[in-house]
Amino acid sequence: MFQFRKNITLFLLALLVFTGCNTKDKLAEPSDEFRVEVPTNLGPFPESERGNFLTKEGVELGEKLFFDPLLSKDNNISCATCHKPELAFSDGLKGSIGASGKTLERHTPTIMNLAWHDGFFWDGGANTLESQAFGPITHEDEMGQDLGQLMEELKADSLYPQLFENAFEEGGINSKNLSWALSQFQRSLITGNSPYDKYIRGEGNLSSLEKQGLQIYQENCSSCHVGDQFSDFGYHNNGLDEKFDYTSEEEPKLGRYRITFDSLDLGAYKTPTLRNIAVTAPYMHDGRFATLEEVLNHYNHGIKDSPSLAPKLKDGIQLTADEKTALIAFLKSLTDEEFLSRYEGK
Amino acid sequence: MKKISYLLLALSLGMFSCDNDDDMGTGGSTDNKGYGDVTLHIQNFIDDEAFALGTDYIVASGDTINVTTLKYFVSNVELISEDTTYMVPESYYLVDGAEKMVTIEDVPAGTYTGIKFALGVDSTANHNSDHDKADLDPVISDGMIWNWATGYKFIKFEGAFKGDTTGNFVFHVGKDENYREFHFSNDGSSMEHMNHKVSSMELPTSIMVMDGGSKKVHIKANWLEFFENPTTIDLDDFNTSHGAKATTLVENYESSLFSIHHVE
Repeated sequence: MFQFRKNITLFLLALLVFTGCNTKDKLAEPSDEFRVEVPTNLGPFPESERGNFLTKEGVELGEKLFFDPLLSKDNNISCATCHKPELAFSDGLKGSIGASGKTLERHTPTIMNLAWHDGFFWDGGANTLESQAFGPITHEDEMGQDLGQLMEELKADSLYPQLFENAFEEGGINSKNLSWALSQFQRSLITGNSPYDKYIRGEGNLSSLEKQGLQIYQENCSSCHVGDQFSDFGYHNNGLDEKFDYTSEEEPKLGRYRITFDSLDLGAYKTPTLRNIAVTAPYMHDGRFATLEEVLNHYNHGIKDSPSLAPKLKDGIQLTADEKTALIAFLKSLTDEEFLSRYEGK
Repeated sequence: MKKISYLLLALSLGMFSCDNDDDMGTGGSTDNKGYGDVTLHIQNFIDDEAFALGTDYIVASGDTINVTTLKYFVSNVELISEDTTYMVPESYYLVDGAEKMVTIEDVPAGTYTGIKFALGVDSTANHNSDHDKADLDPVISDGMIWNWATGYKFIKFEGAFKGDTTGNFVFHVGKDENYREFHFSNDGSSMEHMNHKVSSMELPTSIMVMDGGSKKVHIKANWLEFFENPTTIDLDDFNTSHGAKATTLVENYESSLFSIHHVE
């Protein structure tokens, strides 16, 4: 039923290499490899391109850090303040409010199955999870933290020094290990047990309305929301705006253009997954749509033309009222209750 | 395939980690004439006057600037002799304020007729922020990574200006396309790179590294060059470096910012 991914060969080889140098006897061992349970329809678990392989200690440290407000300037905001587990690690707000009290311009992205993703933030500005972590921690409108100050606070804590030692062979408490632990935890957040998944794996069934919606999804949505990750991990302008005449070239409203300076990326944002979409309202990068109905109405008759509009959306997506009802029923079958309740009470 | 490359990487890292004394560079030590030290003294100037934060200076447009932050990365130092090049491993140096003194140890003895270094961070390092080595560590470099996109600010140059108007200037130059190399030689040679401009200039004397000896290379950075030639920067209109503006600044300094004052 599950595919248990074990890179035991790699792990043993790594151990051999590490123990080959007898410089330090107390080299913390890479310890227990973290056992990632990947539902078969998701395919193999992609390893970190930074060589940041999951260990039990690393994932547990990452989890503790993720839920710890110590990471923010005034020790009052944790990653989980905006990334709430029960909302697939989003927060239900159009724009979250962080350390500066200013409302952010973009909706909090979800965190699930990120091991399969490529490019982070709505515009893909962060290349890896390991690099991404520094953004929200240091941004004045998010957690507003000074990294040097954070290292001092972690070193002064009664538990963190030992936990970092246990999780990483070298470095102890440093910014790299902080970002690596957070990334390991995030990579461990895998969802693939929704009614849809169980249906695809032959473990359960969908209602006839949901099945009808599945077919409508396949015919109309699956070219961007591809496969069982429901994303092509690409960036598209889906016709929300017709003009992008913002004053600064780095305005978040310019979409991926502010990363690439390519005019075809004006208003383009990463295709979000559809997994757990029933609990991740409001929708779009700026949370402008409160309901799934509003989203479908946008694709039906709200598409605004501009030179960077995704060609496939030129004519919109025309659905009848019954088709919309079926599609929404299908989208709700992507809710993985097991995943959403995993960190209940944290 | 991906997995195999990790294995190779892990193995090669493992091998290197046991042999700290090894010359990580290419060549240089074949004759084994011993090793010496080379100190780089990188000093900021306004023409011939030593630069200091919090001081008024007049730039080409006639505007006055008063600098609160001047930080930049000098990286990928190479010492070039007639037959070999010694690439200094992990050479990423953050200059912060008036000057930076950095000593490169265990340089293979020899006569170096050239030295090359970059202003900025090469694309390999620049595409990630999770560095724990020396000045690339985001804690040490402090504020040199962007928090909305992965990458280092190669130069962070901020302060107040007074022209027809008054205000603040914020120049942050980064991105792969703005990486530049500066090459100095005393044999008139020049160098090229397929991805970026390399400016070749004069090295007053060869850098003779003797076994157990030390040499000091005085590198002068004249920040007036940032504001002129070919584009005179009028701070009333040009006080940020968003998008294409960064390139205008790079074109001003790419062949004139640094010079080698002397070698001792």
